[in-house]
Amino acid sequence: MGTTIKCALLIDDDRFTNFYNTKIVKRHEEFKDVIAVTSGQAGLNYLVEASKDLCAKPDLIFLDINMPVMNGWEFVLEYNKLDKTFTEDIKLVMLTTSNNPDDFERSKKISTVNNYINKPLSVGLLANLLGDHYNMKMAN
Amino acid sequence: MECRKTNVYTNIKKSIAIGLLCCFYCLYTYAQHTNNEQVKRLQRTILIYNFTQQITWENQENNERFRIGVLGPDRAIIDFKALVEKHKADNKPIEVIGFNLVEDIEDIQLLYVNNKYNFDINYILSEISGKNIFLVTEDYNYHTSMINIKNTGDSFVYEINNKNIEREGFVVLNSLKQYAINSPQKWENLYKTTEASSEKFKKEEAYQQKHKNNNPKIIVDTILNAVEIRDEWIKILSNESELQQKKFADKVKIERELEENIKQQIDFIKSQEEKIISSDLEIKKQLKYIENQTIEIEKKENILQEKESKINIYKTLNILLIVFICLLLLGALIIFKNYLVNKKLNKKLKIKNLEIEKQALELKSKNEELEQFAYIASHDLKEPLITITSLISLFVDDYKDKFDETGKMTLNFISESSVRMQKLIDAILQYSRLGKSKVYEDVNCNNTISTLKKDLRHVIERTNTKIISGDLPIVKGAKLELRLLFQNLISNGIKFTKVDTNPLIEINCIKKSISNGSNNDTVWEFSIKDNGIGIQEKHRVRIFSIFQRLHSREEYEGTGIGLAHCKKIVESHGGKIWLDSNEGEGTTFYFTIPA
Repeated sequence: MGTTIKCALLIDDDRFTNFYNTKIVKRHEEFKDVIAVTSGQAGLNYLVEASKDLCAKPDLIFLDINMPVMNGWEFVLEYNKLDKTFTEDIKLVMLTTSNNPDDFERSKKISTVNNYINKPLSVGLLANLLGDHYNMKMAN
Repeated sequence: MECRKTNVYTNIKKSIAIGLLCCFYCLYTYAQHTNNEQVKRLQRTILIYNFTQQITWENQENNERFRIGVLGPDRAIIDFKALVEKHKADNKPIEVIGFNLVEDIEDIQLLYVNNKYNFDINYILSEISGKNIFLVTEDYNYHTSMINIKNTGDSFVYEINNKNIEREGFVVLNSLKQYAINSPQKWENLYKTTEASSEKFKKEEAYQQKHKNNNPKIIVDTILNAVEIRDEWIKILSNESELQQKKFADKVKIERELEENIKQQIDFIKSQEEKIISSDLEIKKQLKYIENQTIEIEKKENILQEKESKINIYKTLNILLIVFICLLLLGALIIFKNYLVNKKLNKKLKIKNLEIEKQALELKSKNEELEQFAYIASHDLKEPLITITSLISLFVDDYKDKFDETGKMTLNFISESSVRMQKLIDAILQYSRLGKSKVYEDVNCNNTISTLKKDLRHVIERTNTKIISGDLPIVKGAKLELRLLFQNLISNGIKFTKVDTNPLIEINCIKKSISNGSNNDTVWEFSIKDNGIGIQEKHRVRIFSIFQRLHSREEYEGTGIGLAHCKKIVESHGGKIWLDSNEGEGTTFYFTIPA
């Protein structure tokens, strides 16, 4: 079958978190490439380039909420402005330390946000994630 | 006619003349029928005048006039006055004086009193005593006066009381005494005959009146017969007394004059009477007019009274109205004053309320700020901490074998500490978020407990805990917070148990009514009882504060925030939390939720 996720995009301002998350994602066999950026704007720039086929298009985006300059929610607003045909098959997952139910409720109201998980990321969580979203896709 | 016939007679003795005069007047009266009373008065006058001729007064030389006194408003005065115009007594001109009071009697020679004016005879006698006054009375009792006369219907009789006369020194001619009544029996009989004759007279008069028109012939005959009888009688008498005729003629002349005079007097009296009657009528008219006036006045008085009573009613009405208006004004004033006071108070209250509102807003914003601060602080702390713990676990996974025992233990301590710190931060975050939820729903506490039992299944089984819960109510509250509340309290009961004792937790609830000032609130009072180690008296307040621990972590693990959570949850629901404990026997936590 090969790897399901050819490319995963990590957006987190914290370099240590990016380091950790990259390690965990790479440990999972279903993930091939991991690209990590340290701001929302950098993430957007990457996506714009990817839409022009200048770089690999991510299948899955892990987005932190609490970031300087452009936080997670602001990123989602900009993300929604991108070409729908391009973003359609990208899974956007909020990955945050916040266990504030308000944030969780807010994420549920945005249709483009597919999931909401708390840090720290673990192999188990990734497995759940794949089960929730990609098994269905494969079934289709 | 008969008057003229008497002219023929003459008599020597005055007494006979008097007797005859009596007869003559008797006949005269009978014939006349006109006015019996007038004749009586004339007779009386003449009789009394005759008395003056037969009584001797002493020491009368100085008096120029002979004075006759009449006591009381007697008409005899008029009679006497008529008489005296042409006659003299004791050869002196006669004067008539009227008295109304006995005390006034003075300077007279003869006094006439009629009993009908009720003067006391003894009083009169005592008053006139020594004044040389002769008393002639009429209708007094026998022998009480000097000379007492009485009318017997058609003539007068008299009686003489010698005792009184002599005492005053009068001399009465024997001729007078001769014809006087001289015994009380006779006097009394006189009264009877007088009555009888007056009755007879009345009857005759009535008869006459009756037959006057029908049978005048009979009357004429009777008169004629009487005239004949008298004529014969007169003839005999005239034979006997021819000698005296001449002297008597003079007397008759005088009598005739007297008679004329009397007639005039009678006419005058009649006219006077008519005048009196007319004035009586006028007086009656006047009286009637006065009566009418009185009636009118009474009517007017009545009207006035009515008006007065009306006015009084109006007055009272006005007074009542004024009082009512005053009361109204007073009421209005009081209400207005109250209104002013209320307004002032309201203003103050408004200002206070505004202040309170302001303070509440301030407090709210401060609270929010604080909560925000707590949340952000803990969130920001949490992120690096998560990184640390995750990196440590990664590090342990990758390099575990390359460390010696000390290195491994150190890594283990770092890992545990970071996990504990993470738990503490999570607790603070949770604490700051508690009570924020204002969406209350019906929470069935029985369901909450059974869910908790499932959640805590592993712990319950491991510690061999028994949880007994009674019938719990459905309360209004935040479901998750209430679950956390029960969870904390049950966990506490399980956690703080004595060694070798199976935890026993009893959960019960009763409905209670507590008086809070004027309001009566009903609350659900929950009790969670355990058989644990108990809590010392001095710690009972402290344990509800955040991060307060009574034991070392080695003895009993935990963050020390559980009861602080409980307190915050209960208080945010409007209830209270407290405990009751016996050291070494167990603790019972109580909390209330408004029903």
